[in-house]
Amino acid sequence: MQPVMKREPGGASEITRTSAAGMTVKGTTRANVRSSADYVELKYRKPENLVAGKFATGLAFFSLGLGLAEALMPKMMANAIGVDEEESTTIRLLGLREIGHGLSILMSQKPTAQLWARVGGDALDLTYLGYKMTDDNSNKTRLAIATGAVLGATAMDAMCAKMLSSQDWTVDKVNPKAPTNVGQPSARQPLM
Amino acid sequence: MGMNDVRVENVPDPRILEPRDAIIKITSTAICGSDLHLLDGYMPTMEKGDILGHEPMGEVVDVGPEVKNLKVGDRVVVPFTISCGECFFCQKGLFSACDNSNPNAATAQKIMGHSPAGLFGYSHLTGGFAGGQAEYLRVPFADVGPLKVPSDLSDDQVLFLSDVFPTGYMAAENAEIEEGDTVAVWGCGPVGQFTLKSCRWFGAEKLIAIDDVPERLEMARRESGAETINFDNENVYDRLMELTNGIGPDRCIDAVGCEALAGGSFDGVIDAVKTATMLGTDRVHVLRQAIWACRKGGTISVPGVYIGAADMLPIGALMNKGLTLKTGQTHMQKYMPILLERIQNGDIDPSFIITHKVSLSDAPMMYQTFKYKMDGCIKVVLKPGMGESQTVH
Repeated sequence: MQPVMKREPGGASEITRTSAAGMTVKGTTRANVRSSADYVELKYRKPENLVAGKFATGLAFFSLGLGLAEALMPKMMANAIGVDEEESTTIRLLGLREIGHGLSILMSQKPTAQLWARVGGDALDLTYLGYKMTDDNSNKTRLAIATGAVLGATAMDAMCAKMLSSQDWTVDKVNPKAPTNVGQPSARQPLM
Repeated sequence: MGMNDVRVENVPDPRILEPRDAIIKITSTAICGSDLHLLDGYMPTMEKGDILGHEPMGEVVDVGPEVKNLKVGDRVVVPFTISCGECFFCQKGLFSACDNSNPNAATAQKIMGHSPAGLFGYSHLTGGFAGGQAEYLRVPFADVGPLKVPSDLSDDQVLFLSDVFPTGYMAAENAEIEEGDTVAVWGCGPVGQFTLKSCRWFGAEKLIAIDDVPERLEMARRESGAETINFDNENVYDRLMELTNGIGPDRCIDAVGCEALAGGSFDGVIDAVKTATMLGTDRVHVLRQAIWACRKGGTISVPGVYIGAADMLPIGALMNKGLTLKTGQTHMQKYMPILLERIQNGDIDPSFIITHKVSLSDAPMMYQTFKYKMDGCIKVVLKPGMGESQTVH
């Protein structure tokens, strides 16, 4: 029979198994013993961090989707936001930036800096849209809608970045149960 | 002090830092083949000034207040692994998987998924503990690690209980040898030699030793009655098939690890280029060859040290041939008492592998002698305070 293991917070596990002789063996095997998993992984999985983490992941996928659309269909996107189709190169570059932001957020365990960078990217978008407002060839209505959408995204990015910044994501650098390795001899400072 | 740069320096003596520490005055300590991985820069997280060595023994000169089983004056062999004796893994006898002995477990976890035990003198990835190629050694969790040894046995007889003898023994045990099996062992350094000896105890009938160093192959023939293959002169796979009637060895043991020489084979050249250009960590030619040669349903045991990731590993052959792969750092505390009893019973005198006994101050020179297999070098024992060096042939 496969042992049944119930994992408790803090690394303790209650384990029940049937021995070869048919006896049921039950006991706590890791009580008060801190697993290496506890001080890296579980902090990342704290519920409050999970909400911010999922929020960040959602924004990352939004970035990727928008970025791909801008990079692959720049003329269509130019029409959608009300600028001239000749702006497709600029739109494509903005799309590549979006893809970069999306990937950098997905690749980070704690993407606080990446989210703040995304806020910076939004500011770049808003600057561009504001500049195009002065262009007579632009469709002002569509530009206004696009600007509103970007402002909404900026607010969400800033909110997520703020959530991530305010939380305890500190990872213990040293296993608290292990013997210290500080104060040992080393040839870095040899005796003369 | 850096890659290919070992020096002997005067440093402060270690002191008790934790209640379960002990301080050992080293009487004998050895250079291990796995120290060469550090010397050659294969192991990340080594720092300038780190003290090497994980095969020490000596006399207890100080103990922390919580060490009740040792007292000043005891003669002990210190295992290379550091284990708390209390965690889930230690309680299961998996001492080298101890959860509580590596202070840098978070770093190790990022690289391996979980952290192995702390080790003496084996990079900061495994704890950054000062090693035993020194006059004195601080031993954490000293109530669990060091094994007291009787005074009627010499240092040379018991020193290798610190690593290579139990490592060879566990390799043979992991190979799941059945009575009458044929076992092929790649690498006839000290671990390989003890693996060959141990395989006999587990019932192996035919032993095949593979290496390209004549002295090592000769030792394998002399000490363990092995047939030998020199991979510089013979095709290993073809020769193994010849010796096993085309079936392949029942059990294959890789006692080489991450710095395998491949005799100019295609995969060996690719490995060499990748490791030389920092695009890879391990040269896994032997493991590939073992998977290739092992008989269907056989077992591959890997005591050789690997560090990072392997590519071009014939995973399809491993799966479709139904092979079992077993490996791991040695669960030292489990095997040391068993093997001490073997020595006391006269089943083995482990000193047969010693070829060089030198003063600690000669360590830098001996690292080179050992690395380049010069002067018939198989095993170097360093003796702090020893006057004249000896070559034992």
